[in-house]
Parts: sequence; structure tokens; C-alpha cells
Amino acid sequence: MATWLKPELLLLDEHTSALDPKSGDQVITPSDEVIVRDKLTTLMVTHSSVSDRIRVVITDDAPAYDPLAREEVDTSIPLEDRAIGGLGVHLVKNHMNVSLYERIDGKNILTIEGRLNAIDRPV
Amino acid sequence: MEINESQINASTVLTLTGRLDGLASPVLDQKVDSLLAAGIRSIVFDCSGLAYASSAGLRSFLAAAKKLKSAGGRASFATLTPAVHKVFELSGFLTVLAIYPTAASAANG
Repeated sequence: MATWLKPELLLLDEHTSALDPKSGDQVITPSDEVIVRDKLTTLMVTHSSVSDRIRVVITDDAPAYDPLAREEVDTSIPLEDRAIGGLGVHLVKNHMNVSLYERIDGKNILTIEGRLNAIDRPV
Repeated sequence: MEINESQINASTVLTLTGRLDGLASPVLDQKVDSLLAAGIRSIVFDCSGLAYASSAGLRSFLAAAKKLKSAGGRASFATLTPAVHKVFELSGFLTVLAIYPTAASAANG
């Protein structure tokens, strides 16, 4: 397991994607215990699909930061006055069914969830 | 993503094919900067082959439009695919950018 090497940064990119949800939880739980025990800096991305929904969870143990708290982009102002940036968060907040930031046990957890058959329309 | 360059009248047409995401957008930024440095002031972005535009891609489009406008030029966007039209709509681009049904009409607009 990569954690034996005690890396400075541990990237867990869809490391449970080939598993069913129950088996995925069985991997994530012990992974979390090792990460906390060894104080590894970790960025973890997982996704799951249940019925017609897809959920992406991005977890890291960086200092607390809520990307959803930034000021909303004003899409109505003229081109010359419009700031560049912030569109990613804008799209997530206006295009997904769920966008949620939590700070739990020293971790930033960003959950994004959308219904696959409704993903073309804002909610 | 592929970028093919052509010319219609005084406009340079950049035909974009594939996915304009966080990896591709810096390439597009560099292309626009090089055209601006070469004195080009009218760029048409032909999006007929663009399957996807991420927020980074939208940022590149917005930056290009602002740079061209501040240089006295214009950026135009043609033949939006449904997926790209949707994110343009959600981002308010349909009202602040010049959108055309074809590259030819954009070049002549």
C-alpha cells in the first residue's frame, strides 16, 4: 500500500472505482485510519452512481477552505466589466442538484451530486 | 483538442475540435496571444466540433473576448454545439459575447 512509503502527498484518484459501494466503503474506512494515523496530506476523489444519480466527493486535509462560499458570479454585467474566473463554482452551484462543503475531522469535504437525466437543466 | 486556423476575409477562424478543458485551455490562450501579437484583431471561434467546454475553457473564451475588445478588435463564436450552448447560457455568455450560426456569418458580422 502506498501509505507504507509515507509520501508527502497521497493522491487517491478513484481508488475504489472498480468496487461495488459496499466494498468501496470497506477500502475507504481503513484508508482513512492510516491517513489519520500517519498524518498524511491527502487528496481523495471518489465517485459513485446510484440509480440515476452520480456523486463526486473531493476530500483533502488542507486548511479549511469552502470553495462554494466565494461571491457569486454576476452573469448579467457587460463584457468589459466582467471579471474572469469563478465560473467553475458558478456552474456547480447552478447545474448540480447537490453542492455541499463540510469541514469534518480536519478535512475539507466537497460533495457534488447530480441526476443524470436532469444534468442538462439547472435546479 | 485540435485547433485549426483558417481565414475568412479579415477574420482568423480557429476551428476547435474535441474537449476544451483545463489541459487544452492554456494552448488556446497561447494561440490567441500569438495572434494578437501578430496584429490580428478579429478572431472567430468555430465551435462546431467542440464536444465540451469546462469552466477553464469558458475562462479562455472570456479572456480572449476581453483582450480583443481592449485592443480594438472583436471575438466571435460560431456554431455552438448543444453542450457548449448550454454552458454559455448558464454563464451568461449568450448576452455578452457575439454568437453566430456559422463561421462565415461571424466573420462578416
